Amino acid sequence: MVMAGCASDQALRKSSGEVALRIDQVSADAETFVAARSRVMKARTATLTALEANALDSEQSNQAEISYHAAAGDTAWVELIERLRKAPDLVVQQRKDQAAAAAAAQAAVQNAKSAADFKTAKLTAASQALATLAEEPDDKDVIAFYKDFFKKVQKSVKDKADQADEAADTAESASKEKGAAASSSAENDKADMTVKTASAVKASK
Amino acid sequence: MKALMNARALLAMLVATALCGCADLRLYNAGQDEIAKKATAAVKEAELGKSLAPEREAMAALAKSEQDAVRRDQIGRRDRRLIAWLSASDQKYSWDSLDDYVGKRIQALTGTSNTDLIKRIDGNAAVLKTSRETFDREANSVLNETGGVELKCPIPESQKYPNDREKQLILGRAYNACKNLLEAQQNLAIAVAAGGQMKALSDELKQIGGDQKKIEDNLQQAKQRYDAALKTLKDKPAGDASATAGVKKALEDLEKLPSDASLEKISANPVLKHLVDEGKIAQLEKKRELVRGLLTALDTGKPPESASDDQKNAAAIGALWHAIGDQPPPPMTGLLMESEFLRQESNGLQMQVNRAKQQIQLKQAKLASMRDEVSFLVNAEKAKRAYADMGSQCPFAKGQSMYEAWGKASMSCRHLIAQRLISVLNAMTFGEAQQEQLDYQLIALGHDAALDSSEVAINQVDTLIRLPMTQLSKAYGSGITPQQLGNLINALGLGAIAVGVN
Repeated sequence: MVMAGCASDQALRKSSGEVALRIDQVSADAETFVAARSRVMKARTATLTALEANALDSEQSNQAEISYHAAAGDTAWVELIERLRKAPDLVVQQRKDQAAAAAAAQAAVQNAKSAADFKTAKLTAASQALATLAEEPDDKDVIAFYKDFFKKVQKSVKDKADQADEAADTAESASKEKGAAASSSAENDKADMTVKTASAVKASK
Repeated sequence: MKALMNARALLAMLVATALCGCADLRLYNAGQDEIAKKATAAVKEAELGKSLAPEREAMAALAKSEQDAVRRDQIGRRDRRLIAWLSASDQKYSWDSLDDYVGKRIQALTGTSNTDLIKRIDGNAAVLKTSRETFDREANSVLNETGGVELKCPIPESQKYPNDREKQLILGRAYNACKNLLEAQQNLAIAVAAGGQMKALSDELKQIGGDQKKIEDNLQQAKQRYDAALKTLKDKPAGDASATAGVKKALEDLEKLPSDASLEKISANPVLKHLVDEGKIAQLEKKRELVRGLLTALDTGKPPESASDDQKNAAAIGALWHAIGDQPPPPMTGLLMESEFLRQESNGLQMQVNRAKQQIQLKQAKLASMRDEVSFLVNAEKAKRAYADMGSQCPFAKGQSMYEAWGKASMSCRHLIAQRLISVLNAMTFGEAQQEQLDYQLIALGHDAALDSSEVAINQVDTLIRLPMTQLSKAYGSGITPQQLGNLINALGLGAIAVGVN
């Protein structure tokens, strides 16, 4: 009873309560955060799915068209298409080779350095270990300090959370916009090509 | 009798409490200690700081899948067009459709028709060709002066010979030729990007580059002013009001924008609004230096410099701290927390600045891809003209399809048809497809930036919980044990009362 009236016990109880509240708050915030992130992931995954569907659609349609020509015995056409499709790949490879050669040359210049060998990783580890040892033991003033400090950090945390929300919203709407644009553009392309193919067939008759 | 014994025991404890001072005396409670240890372990195991690592991995995987899918989608569309052009059995859906595609892309990218673009490019390209030849000739003529190493344009610092006036004079003509060559390149780039998407992007990058330089120069000057003010403060007696105010102002000025910069304009630009944070980062880093200065000063006995200087710094920084925050510096563990908090804030802003710089790089890559695309499209246009110039040698009957013409064409005419088609395919591959991929990379960057902000917030919350938890756990683990209390009572000569208790 007597001890319960002591300031140190009171401060401990108060601090414990405050930390408990903060932990509860973190748990609650974590749920909101996960829900918000899930929304972003859903939007991105939907866009990805649309892109993959469009890609698959084009690939299948192209393959079908080529197979019709092949079946009809129009091998010259099939070979021409294949040769033309491969042409950009050659440029891609040339550019990759050029970039690799340039990177290798740059790396050779950058790697040319003194052979002296300082074990800096070990030194860093030692300084980190010493920094840990340099930490002060507990102090009741520190517990009191946390309260003021908490207010300060909380403002920063709130700012960061707002910033994250804003960035996530922007990125999410950009993803959605791109996804919608991808779908609509694929539809237009498809409709366009269908008209062209129909007309081509009609003209050939 | 038992009541009397309890009263004596209570009296013994009261006396001991009074003698020790209530505020510092706490009885050890094994149950509470156990709970505190469990809570601390639970917080540690929750690994708040690592919560976002799986999210980062998921985002990276998603970004990679997006890039693969965009590429496949774009290449699929490209091939679909090619197949349509070569499957069509009339002029409209082969030659005309190809023309239509090229014309529309050139218009969208450069804001002008193919004919006008080629006129503009041709004029500038001729000047560029002459400038390049002139530079090569001049560079060759001074090979002896450069020790056999060929001059490069733009001239690197190592070939400017700042301390060799004579050499500079000899190389002057080559330097001028390089200047003209760079100008010609610039003019060609301007001619190509006179309108459309390229002009918009090029203008945006120019504005960012200009403002970025202003911000960096301004910050450099502000840092110098701060260092000078801090030196003045340390040279004056501790607590000098004027010197303290000088440092406080210099510290505040670190995050100020250049005087001629428009805050509205900068805030509206998603890249610039993060680049200005370089000032805030510098401010946080300077504050961290102050905290570290205080920590060094408080680490009594082993200062890096002489003790007197260290004490002087501590007093000066302590007074400065008081002036900046309107309160005295916190205790040492508080300073460590403050230092950690400043580090996290600074890191968080640095992440945003880095993202902004990545954004600039992606936009530059997009502009480069547009230039690449225009160059391929112009090649396609030139092949078309060359085909037309061949007149009756190359088959082109009104209404005839491309594949029909291909079948009847000579090798040189086929060469031109293939050049035209391959140039367009290259334009699609290195242009439209790549730009679409870059757009998705920019969006992914936005998602990463959102996660950066969340990560900083989570790390700050983690510090805010973990450090007090550790302190609380230590506090609950401390206190006077029954054994220590017994020893204390005996040492204070209260054994007689204690005997009664026993």
